[in-house]
Amino acid sequence: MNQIEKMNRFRKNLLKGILWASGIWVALLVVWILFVINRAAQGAALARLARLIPGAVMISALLVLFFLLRYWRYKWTLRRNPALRSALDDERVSLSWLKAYRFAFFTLVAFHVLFLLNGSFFQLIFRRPGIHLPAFAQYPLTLLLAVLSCLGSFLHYSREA
Amino acid sequence: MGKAGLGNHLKVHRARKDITQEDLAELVGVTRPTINFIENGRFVPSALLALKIARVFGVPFEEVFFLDDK
Repeated sequence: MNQIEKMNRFRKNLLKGILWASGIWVALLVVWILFVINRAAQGAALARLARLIPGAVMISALLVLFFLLRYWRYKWTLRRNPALRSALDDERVSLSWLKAYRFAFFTLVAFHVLFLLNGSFFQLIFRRPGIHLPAFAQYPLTLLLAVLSCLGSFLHYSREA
Repeated sequence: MGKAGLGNHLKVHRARKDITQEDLAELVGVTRPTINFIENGRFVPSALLALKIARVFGVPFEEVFFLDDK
């Protein structure tokens, strides 16, 4: 296996790592929003969730940070080798990134529409409050959804036949 | 006139030269999946990359790539 192939696999695994770690983070945030903030669970179950989730969020955040640091190191390594960098970021990879950015943009727009519907329209139409979504949960959720949709779609577009 | 795609004889030329997708990728400076995508008709390469590939095989561009009227 040549160096291009090795680095390409390394990048793919790194991106998968970031994807999984941020996916777990998003899942934990959603559970926190639904069950702890909006009280979908009661009693002992709620107390257990409230105790477990912050620790689990911290672990997944550290995992994301770990993979991001490795990705930054990978990019740094490529700086010293322009031929390898241009081979790894070839025209198909660049196109896949562009498609991924577009997908992430539309995902964000779609989620903002959902948040808007949940916030104001739900109240106006059904005369009932929607899911309570405080800013400290909404901002990381939005950011992580952008990362998830971008990386997920990049890995999808660049997958082999 | 129907929609035309870019067909190729990459596999045939690779077999003639006895080179793998990985070797070809290294020779033209791209990743192996990119060669795989081109070979399967899932990615249309730029003129520059297509010319580089033809040069590796030592044949004119039209012998490797052709208009595929489907």
